[in-house]
Amino acid sequence: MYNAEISRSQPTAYLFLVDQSGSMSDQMASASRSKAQFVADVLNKTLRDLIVRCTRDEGVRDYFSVGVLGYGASGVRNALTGSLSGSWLNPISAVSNGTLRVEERQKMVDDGAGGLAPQPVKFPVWFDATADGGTPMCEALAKASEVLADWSNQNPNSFPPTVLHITDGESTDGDPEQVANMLQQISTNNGGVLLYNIHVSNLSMEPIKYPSSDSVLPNEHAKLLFRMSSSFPEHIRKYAQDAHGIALSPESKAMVFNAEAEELVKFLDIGSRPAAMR
Amino acid sequence: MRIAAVFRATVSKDLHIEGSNEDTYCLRLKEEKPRAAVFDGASESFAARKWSRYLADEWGKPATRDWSWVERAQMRYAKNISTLQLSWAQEAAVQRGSYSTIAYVEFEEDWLFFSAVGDSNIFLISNNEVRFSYPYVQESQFTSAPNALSSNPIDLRKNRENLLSGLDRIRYKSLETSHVLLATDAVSAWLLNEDTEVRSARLNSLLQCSQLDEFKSLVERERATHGMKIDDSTVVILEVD
Repeated sequence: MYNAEISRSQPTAYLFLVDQSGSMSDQMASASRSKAQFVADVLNKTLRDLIVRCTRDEGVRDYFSVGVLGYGASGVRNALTGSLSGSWLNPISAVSNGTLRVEERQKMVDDGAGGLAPQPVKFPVWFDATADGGTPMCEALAKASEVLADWSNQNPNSFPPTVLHITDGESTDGDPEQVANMLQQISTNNGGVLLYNIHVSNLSMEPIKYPSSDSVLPNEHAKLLFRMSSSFPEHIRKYAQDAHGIALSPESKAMVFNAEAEELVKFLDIGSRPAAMR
Repeated sequence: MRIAAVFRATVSKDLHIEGSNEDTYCLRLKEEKPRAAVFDGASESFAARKWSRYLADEWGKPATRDWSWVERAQMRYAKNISTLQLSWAQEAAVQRGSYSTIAYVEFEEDWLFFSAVGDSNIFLISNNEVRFSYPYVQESQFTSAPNALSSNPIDLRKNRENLLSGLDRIRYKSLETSHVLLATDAVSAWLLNEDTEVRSARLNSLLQCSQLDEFKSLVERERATHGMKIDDSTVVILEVD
């Protein structure tokens, strides 16, 4: 299981679930921006990285289908707009062409004289920060189930879809555990949907990363996220060790609690790491 | 000493996508020191097909004692990329570079000089058995991220170091070598199955191929039974007189 190669004829899917409730407007402790703004930046960078990984001299190869589901004041909505708004999941080549805008930002690079110098880089944007209303997490997970059940039926031999869920609080529309379990029951012939959860926090509390037992978790909400989270396939565990020095056991759950900026960046990098592509 | 190519073939990972094969090979068997090489462009890199072909072209030019062919390939690659109109995604992907493995052999009297960077392999065959393989000797050594030659000029020194550290020689006649075989990773891993009977049967089926269609059928059959990884698949079989 979880060993299917990813190809153009056998793509995989990434679905991002983003909490856009009012509390996401709170400022992150380690950044000068709100949680919503920071999540938007990291998500845009993750989409960019997925596209770059598929980009060749002849164009963008459709190794992935990608969607972003936002949930907050207006319930659940497709957070990708414009040409991408008509479908919950789009081929990565369409996402590449569906930017809202391409900004120019500065990156610090080696100046060749022992220092750092700013270098302009193109920063594509698909997703802007939004924060308003409650946290209809059950509705969001149910919509993800609906979208991924269809996708899995159409792609029965593919590496199973991955859901990367970013939230800062508790569900306001009921207990999401059962819906999350149903989501993980959806499968291709290569395994069930992988659900990764990250809880972002504006409190300077020690983050709890990829626990293998719920005994280390501080409260019921954290324990709920633990039960809602998948374990990592082997290739992800290896990548986490090689790229980030994070030792994951087969029992480690794909969840981070009280995450700050750095953990969010790593979580999305690890979670969106595909199996072998050909 | 007479070295003849009895078979060479390459089959794409995606049979229905034209131009998708990122493997290539190069044979220079009429030179004073006959030589041959296989190259496997890494699918995850920006212009793997182009890069592996530039490497093969430059490697195939009159042999030099240094590694200048790698630098020439890098220069051709950079020149070609500079002429392209790139999207923002392509601009970013170019920074990641392109990568290719190589395995090559060069005959000099009783000696076979060889080098490999990555998981393309060299086999010495005697009495229809693998008597020597390099750099890998068993299937489990093949990983998803092999070493490779990079198109980035900044990696020129590393490329040379990789080629140099992979360089070795063997007195092939002492092994009663009848064939020297070069293969990219899918075929190599398939040939290095842990079960010696399976290994022997696979080698025999490969040595019986004399037409591209036969090799293609073999590869498709083995892919269907998960015996061989679905990847570009290349083999060069040289007969040693």
